[in-house]
Amino acid sequence: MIAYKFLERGAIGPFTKFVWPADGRWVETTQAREGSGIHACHVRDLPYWVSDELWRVELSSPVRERETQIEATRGRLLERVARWEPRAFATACAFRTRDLAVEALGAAGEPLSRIRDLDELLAAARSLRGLDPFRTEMVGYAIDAAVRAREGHAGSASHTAAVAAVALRGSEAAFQQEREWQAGFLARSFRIA
Amino acid sequence: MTARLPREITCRELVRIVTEYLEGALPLDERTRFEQHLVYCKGCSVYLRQMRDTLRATGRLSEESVPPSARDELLRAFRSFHKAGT
Repeated sequence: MIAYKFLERGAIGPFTKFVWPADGRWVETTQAREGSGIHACHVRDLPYWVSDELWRVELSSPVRERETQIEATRGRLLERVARWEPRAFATACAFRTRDLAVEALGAAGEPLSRIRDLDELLAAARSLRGLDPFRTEMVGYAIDAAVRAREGHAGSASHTAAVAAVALRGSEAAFQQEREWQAGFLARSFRIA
Repeated sequence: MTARLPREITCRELVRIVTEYLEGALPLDERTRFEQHLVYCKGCSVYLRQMRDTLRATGRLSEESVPPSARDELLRAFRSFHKAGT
């Protein structure tokens, strides 16, 4: 089965710190316990696990399906997705969060809606005054996401966008919907299927 | 600005269960939420790295490697804790 896997710079597992062989050699886990295998993602799972490098991987059957990841006992790296850019994803999520804030602000959000630059977005968002608590919260998310995007922290910017969607829509389902939008963005922008 | 979703763990909860995570003792669902928290929380990622570094360093500490003066001071401190009933 072909899937995807995020790794830290140098093909290092973000949690186990295992250094993956980049030459396509198979890696096998010896532990049978669920959760101790090789983890990878469907495209829809990717926004939950973003990291420095994105790899296309192959997993041997059987593959166990879980809520936001898949797991196998054997896997290997096939190729690095060279187009993957955490900063571009983070920026897209920051502007997505801005759009959610604009929706909450109504006419007061008009100046924000035209901005295409993170620094300008931050300056404009920080200059907004006299908002009620809900709109202040939404602008706060936009500021947070822009700050994280400027740092290139895609995991944080994308999470903030999903949390902002919940705050705006008033429903936890909005979190999942925002993650789905992010997965679609990843698929389109970085040409993964 | 922070908002919490029901199935997410907070930074405070992460700190509370970090030892179980490092020992591999967390139930799978909780471990997944722990690791997802690390993806978006830079502060907790740094905290976990520091915990790992500390464990690595203390794991290397042997009785012989402790200088005699430090050993005596530690023993005095332990004895005074004991006397104080703490």
